This record gives sequence, structure tokens and C-alpha cells, in this order.
Amino acid sequence: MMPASSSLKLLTFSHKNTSLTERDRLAYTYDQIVDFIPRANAELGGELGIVSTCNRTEFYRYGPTLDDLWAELGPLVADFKDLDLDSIGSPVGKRGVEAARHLFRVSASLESMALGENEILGQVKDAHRLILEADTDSSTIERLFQFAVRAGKDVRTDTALCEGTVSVSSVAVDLAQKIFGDFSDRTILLLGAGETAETAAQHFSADGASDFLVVNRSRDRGAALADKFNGRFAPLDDLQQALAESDIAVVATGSQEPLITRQMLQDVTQKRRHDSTFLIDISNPRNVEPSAANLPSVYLYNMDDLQSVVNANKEARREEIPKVESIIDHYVEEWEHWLQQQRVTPTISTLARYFEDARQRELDRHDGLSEDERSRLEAFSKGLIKKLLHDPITNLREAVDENALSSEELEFVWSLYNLRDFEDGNHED
Amino acid sequence: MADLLNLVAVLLPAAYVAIFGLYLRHFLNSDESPGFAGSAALFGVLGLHSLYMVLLGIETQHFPIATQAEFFSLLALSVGASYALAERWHRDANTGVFFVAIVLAFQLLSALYGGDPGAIPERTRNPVYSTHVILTVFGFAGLTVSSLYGLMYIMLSQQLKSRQLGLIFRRLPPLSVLEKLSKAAMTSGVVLLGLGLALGHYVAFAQYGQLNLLDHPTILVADVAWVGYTAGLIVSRARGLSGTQMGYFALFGYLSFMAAMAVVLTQFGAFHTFQ
Repeated sequence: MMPASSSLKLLTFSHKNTSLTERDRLAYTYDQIVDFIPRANAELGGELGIVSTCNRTEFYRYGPTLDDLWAELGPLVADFKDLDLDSIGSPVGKRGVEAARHLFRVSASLESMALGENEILGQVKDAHRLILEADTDSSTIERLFQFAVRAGKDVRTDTALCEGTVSVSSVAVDLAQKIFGDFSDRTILLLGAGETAETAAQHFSADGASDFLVVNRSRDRGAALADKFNGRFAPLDDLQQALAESDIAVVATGSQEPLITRQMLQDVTQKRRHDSTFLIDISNPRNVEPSAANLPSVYLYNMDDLQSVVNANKEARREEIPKVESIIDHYVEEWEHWLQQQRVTPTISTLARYFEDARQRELDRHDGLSEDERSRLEAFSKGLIKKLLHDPITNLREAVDENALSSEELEFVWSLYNLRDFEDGNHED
Repeated sequence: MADLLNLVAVLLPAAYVAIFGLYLRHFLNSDESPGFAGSAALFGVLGLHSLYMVLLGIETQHFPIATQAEFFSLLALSVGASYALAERWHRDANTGVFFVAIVLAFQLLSALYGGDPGAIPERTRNPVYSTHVILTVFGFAGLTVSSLYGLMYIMLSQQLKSRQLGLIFRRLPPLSVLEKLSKAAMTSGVVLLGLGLALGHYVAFAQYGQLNLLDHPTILVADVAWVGYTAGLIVSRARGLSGTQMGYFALFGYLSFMAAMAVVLTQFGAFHTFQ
């Protein structure tokens, strides 16, 4: 059983306090985590959990309090990762409730570089799974990670922190999906064959698009890009026909004049029997006449429009932070309550056994009692013990319910009756 | 049996309120995990509702279309069933809150009009007449569903055009899905309504002989609406209409139909009244 003086401590190396090079050196693979946890637990005592992602490596330890955890854990890390301890900066440390709060904030993605990103919750889930796989007694730290996963899930279901995308290319894909659903039977026109068009094509391809049509002034570059995506090439003269065949058009050319006019799009929509057309004009200057946006089945977004959606999404995420914080507060309270329960339950049961043992020993000292006298003394002593223990036990339980019991106070109860010696069988009369 | 039916009649609005709550929560929150409980609950309650209508018919020995309470309950069931099929089809429960709200409103009206049905009209024991009413109601439900999907299309399209992307943008399914659902609901509504009206004409002819439609504006309005919807669908198939045009057609077609019916019913009275 973990001593009542045990505490939670966190050491974090993250993008906030460590360079990318240092983070790379400290990063743990899943196999390494499963290997390292039992080793550290055996060396330091207590329970260790590790969150290791490209932006952070964090050590959460619950166990007997160590004055300087990094002084003890650092050499083990250096040995395991085969690195020079001096080449790594100092971690930021947090303890107790603040350490737990930090993990819940990580899980909620409040500590992420991109606020509201979803990947981190999966990584915290993995960290939780690895604690279980490490096959050591880690019931407390495992419970901490359970709370973290639940907090992360609640944040994603009860707030809009993770809604909306926050990169220009993702926003373009999101908008296209909102118009057409999936891209499996949609044609994507790439007008221009530069890097921007290629990046956009990669995003659409990653989301299921497979039919690409490249229109470019230079045949060689256009055909090369079309080949990359198993698409087709058409010369610039066939632009109107290409538009009529396409549902989505990514316009990214260096032309100084609009290549797509309102009139051209009006004709195209007739040919398309008024099916929707989504135009993403990321050229500078713009290559689609802005007035084309007024046509009924045409949706036109330029770079500024996409950026303003990104900004709006970021702002919307920021506005959710107070709600997220209140979910985290709730889980911090739950964690504290659970932890105190874990500490107080063994205290109460040891205390009860201690008094029962004293009562039994005291009774044994009185030989020669009649059956009736013994039974009356049994009843009297049991009643007395019950009365003596009633208030302390009630107060301990109430203190837990009110989150008002400190580790030191609990430790005082143990030392008051020498309960640890009693547990170890070293108790003397 | 009567006590059981009375109990279910009270339970149904309560159940729809609970389901509305589930769908509202689903719409407002971003939970996209599979297995949304509201969908299963809606199917369950629609099953119970159907059973209730069947048992009510058996108990009272007539098709449950005789009273206003029964009519509204059938309307609630038909809209709910149409939506539930659409949800199954496109696997997205985010539009449910709007439809369940309508279902709930119709079922509450049914509960308000409940009570002693009095003398049940003899024609509601006639299977042909009753099939006419049921088909017409289901056709009407199809048009209701179509108009609501049309409205959603217009709202989402406007958000996309104005670049003001709010809750509607985040929660509604893609435009292509809304357009497909609106068209499918309108097509099935027109087919069912057409069959219902044809049967109605047959019943009326069998009972009253040749009818002068000008003497029966309710039938005239229903026939004109059906012809309008059918013409719209043919034009859309032949020439192609944009999603927005189809949305406006579904929405304003429905509103015009309702407005015309309301005027006719208040000014001229119904051809066949409900008690």
C-alpha cells in the first residue's frame, strides 16, 4: 500500500520550455515506455506514467515524496536513452493538484501548440494503455490517466473547442465537403500547376478525391502534375469545358488578369444544369472575377475569405476556453476526492483493526472470568471502542467529502497510533 | 384495452418530448460518436406509435382517421416515419431536432383534441376511403419533410455564400445530401399524394357521382398543388434546377399549399370534416 505521504509530481519537457532537438532526444517510443516504467518504478518506488509526443515528454509519478524528482529520475532517463544529462535543460515541475490539472489540460488540448487539436487525446489514451501494459502496480497513476481521458472526451463532446479547422488548406477541404459530401465521384480542377495547386491536390486526395483535371498554360508542367495524381491534362484554351466537367476548381496561377469571368461561369452553370461549383481562388492577384460569387450555384472563396474562416474558427475555439476550464475543474475535484478516499479508506480500516487488537489483548489479560462476565465485558468493550472511533471516523470521512484533508493530517493520524508499526507487526504493548 | 390505449396516448407526447431533448442535445453538441441513443429511441417510439394506431383501430372498429386527435396523431407518425427513413438513408441525426419538433407539435395537438370521439363516421370503416386518407397524409408528410430539407439547404447555402459559418454550417449535412433528401421526399410525397387523391376522386365519384371541383375548393387546391409539384419535378428533371431553386420550390410550394388550404378551410369549410 502506498504511504499516506505519497504525492503526485510532474516533470514536463514541452514546446514551451524545450527545443525541438531536446524533445527529439527525450522522445519515447511505445515499446520504450513499456520497458522504462517498471524499471523506474523499481528504482524509485511509486508509479510512473509517461506522455511522449512530438511536442512533449512528460513524466507523472505518484509515490513517496522525493525532494528533487529530476535528480533521481534524470540519471535513469539519461541511462535509458543513452544521452548526456547536461545536454538537456531542466524540466518544469508541478506537484499535487497542479500536476493533475496539467495532465487534464494536455488531454483537453489546452496545452497544445494548436488549440483544440484532436490528436493529443489519442496520445493520452495510448499513454494510459501503456501504463496497463507495463504490468506494474500502478493503480493510482492509471486512475489519473483515466480521469484525463474522460476529461478530454467531455471537452470534445460538451464544448466546441475542437470544432472547425484552423489551417487554410483544411478549411478549403472542409468547405468543399460541406457542399459535396465526399469527393469519391467529384472532379477537381487544378488551374495552374505550381506548388500551391499541388499542395491543394494532396489535401483533396487525402480526403478521397481521385479524379483530377489539370489546366495549365505550360503543357509539360501541367501534364507532370496530372500524372502525379493519375489525372488528366487540358490546355488553357479548354478552360470553359474543363470547368463544366469539374465540381471543385482550385485556381492558383500567376496570371495578372482574371482567367475565369462571370460570363464564363454563367455559361458553365447552364452546361452543368445548375449543379454547384466551388471555386477556391488562391491566386494573387485574383484569377476569378469576384462578381461570379453572386451566381446562384457558384461558391467562390479567395485567400482572404479562407483566412477569415480560419481566424473565426480560432476565435471560436478561444471562446470555449472558460467552458473547458470548468470541465477540467470538475475532474480535478473528482481526482482529489478519489485520491483522498484512497488514502483514508486504509487509514480507517487500520485504525479499526488497531483498536480491535487492543481490545482483544486487554480482554485476554483477564483470566478466570465466568462465561457471563466475559460476554458482558465483550459487549461493553465493543460498545466503548465503537463510541471512541465514531467521531474520528466520521470526521475523516467528512473531511474527504469536503476535500479538506491534507496528506500531513492523515500522516499525523498514522503516527499518533504508530499504525505503520502496527501494520508491520512491530506493535508493542 | 381502452385503459392501455389511454395510457399510451398520454405517454406518446412525453416520449416525443424526451426524444426532442436528445436530438436537441445532439444538434447543439459535437458528439459524432456512432450509436446515438436518440435514433434508436425514435425508432422505438415510432414502433409504439404505429402499434397504438393499429390497436386503436381494432378497439374502435374503424380506421383511426375519424377525429382531429387521430388525424394529427397520424400526421405526427407519418412525418416521424418519413424522417426516420431519411436518417437511416444518410446516416446523420443532426437534422432530427427540426423534424422531431414537428412530430411533437402534431402529437401535442392530437393530445389537445383528444377525449370522447363521439359518433364515428361510417366512411372511416371503409378501407378504400381510409386508404385514400392515409396515402394523402403520408404524401403530405413527404412534402413537409421536403420543405424542411429545402429550408435547411437555403440556410446552409446562404451561410456558405455570406462566409458567416455558424452552427448551421457545423451541424447540417452537406448541400448535396440536403438536396437529395429534399428531392426524394418530394418525389415520394407527390407519388403518395397522387395515389391518395386518385383514390379520393374514386370514392367521391362512387358516392356522389360527377363532382364539380369549383364547388369543392379543398379538392381543387389539393389537385392544383399536386399538379404544381409534379410540373416542378418534371422541369427540374428536364432542364435542371439549382439546389437553391429546388429548395425555394420545396419551401414556397409547401407554404403556398398550406396557405391555400387554410384559406379554403376557413372560408368554405372542409369537404369532409373531422370531429
